[in-house]
Amino acid sequence: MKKYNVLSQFYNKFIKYTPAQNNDFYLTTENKKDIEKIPISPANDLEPKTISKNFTQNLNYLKTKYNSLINSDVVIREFSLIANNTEYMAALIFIDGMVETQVVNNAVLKPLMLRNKSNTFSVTDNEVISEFNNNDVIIRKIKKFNLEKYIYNHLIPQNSVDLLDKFEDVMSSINIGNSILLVDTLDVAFDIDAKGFKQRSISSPKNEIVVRGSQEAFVESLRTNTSMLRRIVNNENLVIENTSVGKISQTKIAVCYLKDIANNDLVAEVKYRVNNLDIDYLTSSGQLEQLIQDNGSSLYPQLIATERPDKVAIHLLEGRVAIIVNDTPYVLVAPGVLSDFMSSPEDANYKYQFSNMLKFIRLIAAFFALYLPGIYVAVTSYHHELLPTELLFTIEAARETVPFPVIFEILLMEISFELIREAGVRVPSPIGPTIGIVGGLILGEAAVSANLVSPILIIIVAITAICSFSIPDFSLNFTIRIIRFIYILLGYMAGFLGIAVGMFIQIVLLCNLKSFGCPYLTPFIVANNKRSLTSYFLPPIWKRENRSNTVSPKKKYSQGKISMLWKNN
Amino acid sequence: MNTEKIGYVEAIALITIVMINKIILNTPKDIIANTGSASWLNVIYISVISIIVVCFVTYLLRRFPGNDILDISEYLGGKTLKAIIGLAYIILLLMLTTSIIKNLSETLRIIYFRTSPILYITLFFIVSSIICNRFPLKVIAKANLIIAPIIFFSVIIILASSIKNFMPQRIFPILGYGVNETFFSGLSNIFSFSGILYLLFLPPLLHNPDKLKRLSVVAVIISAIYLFLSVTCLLLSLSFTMHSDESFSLYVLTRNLEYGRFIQRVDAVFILVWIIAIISYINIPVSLCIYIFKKLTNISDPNSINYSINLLILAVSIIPIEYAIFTNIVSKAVQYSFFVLFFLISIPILVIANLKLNFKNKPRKEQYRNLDNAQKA
Repeated sequence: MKKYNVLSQFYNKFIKYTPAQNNDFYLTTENKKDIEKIPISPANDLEPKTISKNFTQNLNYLKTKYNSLINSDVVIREFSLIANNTEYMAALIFIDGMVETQVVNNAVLKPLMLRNKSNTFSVTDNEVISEFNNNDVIIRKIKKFNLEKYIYNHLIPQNSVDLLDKFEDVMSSINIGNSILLVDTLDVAFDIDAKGFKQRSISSPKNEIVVRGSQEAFVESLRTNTSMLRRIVNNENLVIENTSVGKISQTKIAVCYLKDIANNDLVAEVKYRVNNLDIDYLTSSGQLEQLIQDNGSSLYPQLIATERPDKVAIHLLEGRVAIIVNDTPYVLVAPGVLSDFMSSPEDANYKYQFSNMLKFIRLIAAFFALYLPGIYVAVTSYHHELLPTELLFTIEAARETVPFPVIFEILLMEISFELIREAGVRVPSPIGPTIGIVGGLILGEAAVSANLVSPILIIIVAITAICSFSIPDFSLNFTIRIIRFIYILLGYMAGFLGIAVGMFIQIVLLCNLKSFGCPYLTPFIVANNKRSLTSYFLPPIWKRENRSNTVSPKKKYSQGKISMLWKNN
Repeated sequence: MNTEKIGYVEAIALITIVMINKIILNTPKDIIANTGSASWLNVIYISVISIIVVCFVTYLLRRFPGNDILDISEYLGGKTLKAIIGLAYIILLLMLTTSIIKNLSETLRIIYFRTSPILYITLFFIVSSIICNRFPLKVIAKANLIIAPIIFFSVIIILASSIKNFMPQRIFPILGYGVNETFFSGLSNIFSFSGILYLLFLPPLLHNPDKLKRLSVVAVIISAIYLFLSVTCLLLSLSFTMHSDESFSLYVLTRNLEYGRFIQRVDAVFILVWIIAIISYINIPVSLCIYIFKKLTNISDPNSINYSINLLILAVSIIPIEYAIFTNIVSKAVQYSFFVLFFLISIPILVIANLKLNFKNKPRKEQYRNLDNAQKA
């Protein structure tokens, strides 16, 4: 009745029913706006926040919250708990499929329900702890029987048991796969970690493949991911702070850093951003990346997303902060600067000469992936003199039979290529390569034969595609693919003038970009970042004394001035 | 506007790029036209004078740490003088930018876009200027830092590649058109170092204003070396009496470059680099105009000024008058305005402000001296 009154007040306050001429009721627009403004249902004010000693009330509340009558996977097992040789009403609540049934049966229900030495030994109501006589007056120190401690100490043989007193925490625990024990007369709930849901086992990375390096990739389970990091970092200074994001989903997030290396301001900034998100749900690290990056409108990725634990570990050891999102096999690392996206995780594993050669090739690849089609359009439209006469004749002869302007040709081929790429990703994996062959070879050959495009253009598009595959980071690859179209248009509009304008604007935008306060072009424009792992071209391993100054770590040096002591001893 | 400060190397790149761009444009050709075969001597002469001027200016600015010419004008003559000086500099910088854009657009039209209207070409520069000037000067300085080495490298390649065309006898007669033309009327070539103008506005923008003198001298020396090399190469490669319609001095050299049988015409590549350089250069005076305007008016959002200034530049750039007439009028006007504003107004203001500061501090100094004497006694 009380509830009804409050609800009536709520409706009267926020929803005004206006009688229409036909005596029906309808909501006015004004009232709709009022409804939108309501932050949380006022009914929440009536809901209990904490667990009371009334077992039935607690249980009914949870049953209502979990819609136990219609929810098939929520299990509420009511039973009589034996403690101190007395029976108490109790209930174990968990979600079927998220707990280990054997553990729940053998290590939770059995000790609680069946009579055994633990639950039948009697503790007197008032246990005398100590006693002494003072002038014929006996003074006794008495400890009252405590059911909560009794159950905690004697009846739940589990390594991870917490006591919760808020319903919010109780529901959060149930949602992540824990079991909750409610006992009559107790105003706390036992949070028993008996998780046991099916999950993918650790496998090799699918998108960041390396030749020399670890073959382990992150999985969806947050705890498995943190354990992999801990195993690699192997240091007690690794801090893994848990938090949750999303009002509905309450997605677990772990912020990881090395407390003796990571800059305090950076850690604080990451935690500040993660903890100040007003969203209902978060289902992946990709969403989180977009929510916490500095410049949302920029095309460039500003956080590193990787599936490789060794890569994250290296970044942690360099003083960066990792963010793990539960149910996502990609971990974010903050901050991310341009050189990070041009580096492969195995660069550190190769000899520095090999790595630097690869890095140089990647630079060339990035240049061609970005500018080659635009330059081709510019040269063929405005700057013919740049080509040697013989080559110019060859190109012109090849284009003679093509009826379209060069811009149409190149856009046709680039868009076709993007379609092939997209189709190759979406189709089932056994026929993925077939799409590539059909699209790349047959379609290209047919297009040339039909005089839709010139053969030289096929070469240009193919080189561009190969170069774009050399970019190690998937997000940066996307960025380059989009910007490439802009350069094609600029090249067609004004030749090298257009490309030069585009280049300068791009440089300015890059110079303006920051990731968690770090200039995005570090170390390209910060000169004093040599002799570290994060300088673009790697020095020899024995000369990498410095940590990256990108994030101003607490420890400046990562190795001694002379790292190979054996050589000097 | 962002209050981030400019670093030492960024500041050097900022000043140098202003001067190097003059080398890319028609400055070496103008110097050779004015002084003939003595142009290399003239460059050394004006470089030395520029270094002396820079040292003098930075010495005068040293007494006002973290203050620019506008602050010093305000100190000397109140807000009125500050407004007058600020407006004068805005007009000068706008004229300078307009002349560069007009020059570049016309040159590009002659070389590549013969059928395109001048408005079409100019719009590219204006759009880039509008976009880039939405960001603080610090960002443009950083972009300069990336571009500067590429420009230096391109100039070095041209100079090194044109050695085969050198004819040493072209430096004769040593004194060119005569002593008067080389050392007296040739003094006007100091306009090549007009980048020193920006020194007057740098102190509040610098991360470390104490290094103003050092960075200024370094920037002038780098520019002087490049100017000397450019002028000498141009002089030794082509006869100074040769008439050329090209506005880009170095472009004349690039047209003769050949690298084997395959690469016969690379001028377009250098044009690409120089366009980037000149866009970068254009952004500096526009950014400075916005900075001055903001300082004069205390407006919170300088974006509206950005649009206004750029549209004004566009409007002036596309005035339908003969290119040669425009160049003569505006270039001369810019040159004379620079001399008047920098040498006849700004430097005297700095001198008088220093004197005023001395005069103001004098009683205090005497007070301290008396106090010292009293303590000693």
